[in-house]
Amino acid sequence: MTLPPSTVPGSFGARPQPEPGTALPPPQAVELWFALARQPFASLAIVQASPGEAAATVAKHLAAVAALVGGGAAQVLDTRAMQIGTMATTLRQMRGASQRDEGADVTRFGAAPRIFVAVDSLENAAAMPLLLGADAVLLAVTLGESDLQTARAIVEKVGAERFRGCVTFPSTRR
Amino acid sequence: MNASPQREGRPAEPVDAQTADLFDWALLRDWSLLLLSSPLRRKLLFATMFVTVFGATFVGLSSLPKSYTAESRILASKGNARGYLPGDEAPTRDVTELVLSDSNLEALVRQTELVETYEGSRSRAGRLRDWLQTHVLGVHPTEDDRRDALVATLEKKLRVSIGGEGTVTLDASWEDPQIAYRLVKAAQDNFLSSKESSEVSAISETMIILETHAASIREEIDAVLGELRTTLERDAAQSASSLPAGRRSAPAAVARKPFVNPKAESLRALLMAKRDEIRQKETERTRQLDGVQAELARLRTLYTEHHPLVVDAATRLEALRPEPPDLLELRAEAAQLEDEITTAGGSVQAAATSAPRPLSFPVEATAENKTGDPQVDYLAAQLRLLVTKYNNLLDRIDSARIDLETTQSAFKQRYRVIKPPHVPIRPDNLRPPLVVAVAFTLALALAFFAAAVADFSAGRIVRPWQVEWQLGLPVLARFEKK
Repeated sequence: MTLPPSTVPGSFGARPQPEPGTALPPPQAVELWFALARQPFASLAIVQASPGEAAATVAKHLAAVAALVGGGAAQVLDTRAMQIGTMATTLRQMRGASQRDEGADVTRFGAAPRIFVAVDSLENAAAMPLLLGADAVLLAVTLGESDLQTARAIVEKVGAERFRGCVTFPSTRR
Repeated sequence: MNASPQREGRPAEPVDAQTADLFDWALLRDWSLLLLSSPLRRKLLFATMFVTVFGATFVGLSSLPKSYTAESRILASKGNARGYLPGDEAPTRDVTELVLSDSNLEALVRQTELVETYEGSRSRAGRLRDWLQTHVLGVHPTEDDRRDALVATLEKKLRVSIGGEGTVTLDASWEDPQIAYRLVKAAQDNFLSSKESSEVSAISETMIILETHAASIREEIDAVLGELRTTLERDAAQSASSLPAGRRSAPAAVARKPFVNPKAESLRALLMAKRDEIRQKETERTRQLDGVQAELARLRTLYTEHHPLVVDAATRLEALRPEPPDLLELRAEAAQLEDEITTAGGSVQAAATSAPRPLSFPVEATAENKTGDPQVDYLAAQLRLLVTKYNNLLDRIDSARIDLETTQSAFKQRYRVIKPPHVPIRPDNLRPPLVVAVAFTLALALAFFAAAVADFSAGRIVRPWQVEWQLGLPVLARFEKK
């Protein structure tokens, strides 16, 4: 993928610098970003197959990459502790982002801000509307902790066609 | 969503169209790796299973019944330099039937005191089974039941095989090595003894028949002699004055000849047969004693006094020293016959020294020189005929005795123990090194299996390819530990 030179700020060939105080995302996050960027999206829900920090971690890393390579602001919404009664705002934000950026090329520098939503497993009643409201869904699996049955249930309920893929994390257990 | 995810980012490999349908090698490798790495995720289960199975092996080794096999090999030759003997054409015929006959098996159980020693030789597992049968099932077998059961067991455990070169192999497997040895030794001795008896018995019976006939003829001779003497005495009384002195000497010589009691003669024949039997038993016993003594001497040159083999040989030697009951019984019978012969007026000394002696009866003079008295001449001719028959019978008895001794000697050459039994040292069903090796492998395999089953039954995702294979989602990124 080649970015149009006109969209790159500053002089041609100048290296984009991260903002001071921002930690660099791991290379896997960059790889993931470009894998996701093959198809446009404004909001991406990351659902984890087992309790933990996997979804939030992926959301943060993707937001960091989006800020670095996309030039636009990226928003991270951690909805893992959200109740069903308080999710309307989040859904509106997601829908708004989608409408603003409908048909836009997400790889274009300076594109509209992306929303990365960290969603808990389906045990949380608010999870399902959020997953259905996002443009795309990513499954976060913690190896050795996430079980196949839960992961399969998530994919079946949300719809396999909505999933872009999966990311794996090493076990947090010692 | 990608329709065809690439497993763990591996580049697509060229696939042979034919083999691709049969085996998914990549999937096979992934599953193998998953299986092999399962112990890392189930360390406690893996270790517990391994230690349990491996430990159970050692418990089993000490508890399960072991099987020791003792073996004896006898070479049965067809002919020998001394001539043809009965059964020469098939010396191994009927061996199996002879050894495994009910009477022989019962004799083996009795000889080896199997009923008495069986309980003590049982393994822990066997004792546990016995205890359960007695205390749970309420089975209380009598001694006869145990003996019958042991005979049935022995029928299975004692094996006879006949080789193409005339070798007879007897082997027995038992839980106790000493019992296995004693069984084979007794079976071997019984077999040899039985074979010897069967080959010698024909000649012995011939001898007894001949001796009985000889005794009968001797009885007739005595009767004719008595009649002749009576006739001569009567004639002598009638013509005492007219006969010359020389003519009176013949009947007087006949009259001086001592009578032989027919009953005593018959008993004497029996006594001789009995003494022959005693002599055979003594020869066999001496042969056994010599054999064990030679074996003990050989073992002492190889091992110390406390080695099990030396102790065993010494024990067997001590057991052989006292005379066996059957020999004592034969001696008692012979002594009784001697008493009966003495009571009947016969001579025990005559029986002790030799067979009946040929008669050198002064009949020739009586028979060839006609007396002129037809009755005396007739009796003399009859007497001569009987004496001739008697002497012929004695010749045949002598010939049969030589045959008997020849047969006994030839038997030792024909049936030779080429491999005497020994007390087995190692069990043949549970060889510790092999069992430990097998148990180690089995324990490892079971531990792997348990870990893998636990892994799979938990349904955890442990490898990224599982997501691709089982959920159909591509793995876009794999985050590592920081």
